[in-house]
Order: sequence, then structure tokens, then C-alpha cells
Amino acid sequence: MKPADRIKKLINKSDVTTDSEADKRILGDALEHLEKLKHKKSAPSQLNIWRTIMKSRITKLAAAAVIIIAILIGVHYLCGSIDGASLAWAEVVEQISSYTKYKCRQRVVREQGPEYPTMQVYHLNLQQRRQEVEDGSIHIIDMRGTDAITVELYPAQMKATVTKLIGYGPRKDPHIIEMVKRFEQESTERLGTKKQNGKILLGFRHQRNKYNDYTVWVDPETKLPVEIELVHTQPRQTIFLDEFEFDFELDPSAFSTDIPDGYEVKTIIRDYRPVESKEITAEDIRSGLNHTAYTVGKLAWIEKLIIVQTVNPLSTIGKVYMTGILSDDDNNIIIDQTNTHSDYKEAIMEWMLKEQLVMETPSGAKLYTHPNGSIYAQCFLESFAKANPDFFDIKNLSEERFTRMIVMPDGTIMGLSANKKMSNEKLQELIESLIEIKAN
Amino acid sequence: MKDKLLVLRCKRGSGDALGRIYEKYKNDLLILAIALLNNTSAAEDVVHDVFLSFVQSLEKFRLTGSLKGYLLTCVANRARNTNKAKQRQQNVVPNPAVPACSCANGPSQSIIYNEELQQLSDAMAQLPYDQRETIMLHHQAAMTFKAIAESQGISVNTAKSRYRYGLDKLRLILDNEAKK
Repeated sequence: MKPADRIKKLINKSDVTTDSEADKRILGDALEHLEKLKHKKSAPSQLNIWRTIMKSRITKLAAAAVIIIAILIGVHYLCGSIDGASLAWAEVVEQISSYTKYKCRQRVVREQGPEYPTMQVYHLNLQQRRQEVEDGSIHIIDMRGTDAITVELYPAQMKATVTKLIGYGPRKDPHIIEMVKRFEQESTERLGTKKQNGKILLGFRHQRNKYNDYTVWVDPETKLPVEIELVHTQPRQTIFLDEFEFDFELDPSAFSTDIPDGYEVKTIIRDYRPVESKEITAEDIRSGLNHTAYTVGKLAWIEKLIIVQTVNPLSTIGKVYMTGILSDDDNNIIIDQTNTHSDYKEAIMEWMLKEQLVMETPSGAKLYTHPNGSIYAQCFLESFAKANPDFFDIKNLSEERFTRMIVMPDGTIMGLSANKKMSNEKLQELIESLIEIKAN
Repeated sequence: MKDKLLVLRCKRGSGDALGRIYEKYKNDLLILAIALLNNTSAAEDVVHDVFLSFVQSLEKFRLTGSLKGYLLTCVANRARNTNKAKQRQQNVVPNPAVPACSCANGPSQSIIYNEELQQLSDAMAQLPYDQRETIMLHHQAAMTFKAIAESQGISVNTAKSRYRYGLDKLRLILDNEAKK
């Protein structure tokens, strides 16, 4: 065995055991210090200034006067009311509102799921932005036209991906600063101060709802945000925005969606035009989807089966294909299929935590609960009722309604909404009956 | 839970998060400290100081790489200082024939390590400190020679040489041990 391997093996096999006393000794002081930090205000630093002043021979005579100033500063710090500490949230909003463009660094820390790359984001306005991603790629988003467009440039590979979102625009994309501007004075809590890079920052917190918790650190001099933290509880992640630059200087061409010469271009079209609600065939689903399409097989308890296409009730744009089933026990069941893009699929998969897995069929299909299953089911039942009133009357919407997300063995994701409870046997039978729709 | 999130919670004053970081990495940190210093009391002090200093610097701390790597580097730096201080204090060249580990465990005996770590520690004690550190940082902290060179203020080639010479000596030491 090579000496390097031997040493590696030895390190790998090395182990230590600490008892509670050792843990207490090592960690105890650190925890105590952490506790002190929690309650730390700027007062201690003022005390240090006092000590320095008192020790200084030169400033002895002036000490008394300086101490008075120091006391005043200390009091202000402790009360959180020096100079800008009297700053009201409304003033921050007013100051932010005087700028239409800004740039910042965006980092996302996630507890699970794929990591998002850190990027510098340049917001020119609510419709145009440029993202410079840490992997070297540049994303330009322009939603001014009827067809929104996103361009991903990979300069190192000289490749570009252009995604045209037909019928998606024109639309405004409210970003975090835009959200922050909407915080009301009354519902914005003051957090006091913190020191960063020699600057005192004022903290404001706004808990918009149980899913979005904002903390904004503001420079009292400029009245502009220096740091924003947005904690999401579903999915669990924190978005950090810092390195703000309001009114940045960047050539307008930086927001151009024209592809530079010499790039290999891949174009993706996504159709978001208004959808006509109508009854369709299984073959129509197959031709409309960019992935495997499924239809329900024959089952003894299915009394009626209708397939419709309509606008996706969740996004209110884009198309969804719904297979409506009327069962012999008077239950209305809908299986929805839509074009899933990789990012959307990832987002859905994040919801599908292991704990939410409720069934795995013999063929390998998995059924998960949906965090907002009741609302999801209601949306699809309502949508189906509008598209085909004969199939379902919304007046019959039941409190028992539920949703299961189906992940087929090939990774295809579908939604199942039912108006009433279903037995596990029936549910399994239905999932096992799903068959791929193949071209005629 | 991801380290970035644990650090973030620590920054917000969560003792639970600090405890979780400690639980997650204490063994790695202690193994490195014991292998470098050959003395559990000194190793415990080093790890203690690293955690204390980590908390003290939390306000300005930004996790750019791996937390484990960062903490291990801190342990290595502190262990180096401890070693220098010890040498200054004793003002004698340590006798390689008498591994410090033989009297390593302090009075508390609250840190107990297995045979492999004892063997590693004893063998390492017979190497010059710089070679010990280079080998441990490369193998345990998975640091590149470039990173080790930067942390020690030496050239990459010197770091590689220290590693190579150290490994050659270790081979002899371990072979002799096996023959006994």
C-alpha cells in the first residue's frame, strides 16, 4: 500500500470520543459569548473609547467634555435613535422610490433542493433586467413586448439560448425592491442597529405573511437599503441581496437581447397565448406536450371520461390538458397534464418531500400530497366546470376534495384532483391504468 | 442542515446552531489538533479557542467555501502557534524518540481516542511540525498544495516537498511499527 493511502486510511479510521464535560469545556465559552453577542449593543465600544480617553495623558483635560459626548452617543445607540435612527420607514420608501434602476448581488441559501447560483442583478426597470451569474453566463430578460424574451449567453462556450414566451408580455415583474416599497409603516418593525464595515445600519422587519419574512438594513445617511434578507418558509430558503448600487451606470446595449456574432443559438418557444377551452382527444394531448403524455385506461368503475384543454388555472396563462373522470360513486376526478419546464419541475419536486410520499404503486409511480392540496383541487375542479359544465357543477364542490401529485416512473409529473375521498385501492387502480399515449 | 444556514442562524444568535456545528465537526477538529500537537489537553484548548474565535468573528464572517475547511484551517493555524509557543518555552528540540503522546492525555481524560489515532499521533510526532501540518491539511482538510502554501506562507513546491519528505518518513515509521 502506498504511504499516502496508508495515512489516509489511518486518518479515516481515527476517532475521538468526548464526554459531556469536554463538550461543555470546549463549547461552553463559545455559547456564553454568543449569548452576550445577542444582547450586545454599541455601548461596550463606547466604554472602550472611555477607557482610551481616560488613559490618554494628552486628552486628560478634554476628557470630561468628550465623555459627555460619548455618553450621549451611547444613549442614542442604546435607544436606537441617533441621527438616522429617527428615520421612519416611510422615508426609506420615499428614497427607494426616487430610483427606477438598481443593481445588487443576489445569493440564495436553501435547506434543500438544487442550489441557486450567486449573481449580480441589474434591474433597469420592472420589465428589463440583466443577470451576471457566477458561472460566467449572462441572462437578459425583456418583457416589454407581447412576446417576452429571455436570452442566456455563455461567453466561454460561445453558446446562447433564446426563449421566446409567446403571448406572455407585456408584463411587469415585481422584484424584491418593489415588494419592499409596499411595506407599510405600521406593519414594519424596527430592529435597532448593527455595525457593518464601520457603518451603523438600521434594521427594519416586515413579516408579509407566514411564508415571507423580510429584514431590510438601511444606511441612515442615504436612506437606502444596504442588505435585504428574505426568508421563505416554503420552500425553506433565504434570499440575500446586498452590494446595492442605485442608479448604476451601464451601457443600454447590456440589456439588448440581440445575440452577439459567432454564438451558436438554441431557440425555445413557449406558447402563452389565450387558450380556447374545448373537448379534445388523447392524441391532442400527445401532440401538445413536450414530454410523455398519459391517458386513463378502461376501469369498471369509470362511468364517464372527458378530456378538455383549457387555460392553466394556476398560472392563468398557458395550456393545461385535463382528463375528467366520473366514477360510479359520483366522484369527479381530474388528472392534469401540462408542459413542464425543467425549472418548474424542480420547483414541484422540491415540494414533494419524502414525508409527503403517500403511495408507491407496483409499477413504480409515486403519489405525494400537495402542500395546498385543497386549493389546488378547487382550482382544477372550477376550471373543468367552466370548460365543461356537464361534467361538474361547482355547487357540488366538496370539503373532502384533495390533490395528489403523481410522479410516473419516467419522471413525468401530473396532478390528480378529486372532489371526494377515494380508497387507496381505487387510487392505485387508477394510477396503474395510466398508459402512455403513442402516435397513431 | 446546510452549513451556510447554520452560520446564518449562529449570526442571529442561535446557540442550537452553534451546537450543531460543534457536533458536526468536533471530531475532525480534534483529530487534526491531536495529530498535530500530540497532546489532548493542548488539542482541546486549540479547538476551544477556535470556537470562541469563530463566535467572536461571526459578525464579519462570510462563508465563501466549506465551513469544515475553514475550521480545520483555523485549528491548524492555532496549533502552529501553540507549537511555536511551546518550543519557545522549552527552548529545546523535541526528542523524536519520545512521542509526546505518551503523556498526552490530560488529567480529565474526557477526550478518548482510538488506537488508529494514537498510532497516527505517535507517528506524526516524529515528523518535523511543518511536514505534519502539510500532510494533515492535505489529507484531512482536503486542501490543495496551493492553499496549504498560501496558509503557511511558502511556495507550492516547498509544500509539495514537505509532503513528500513527510510521507517518506511516515512510511519508515509505520513499517518499523509493524515490525515490532
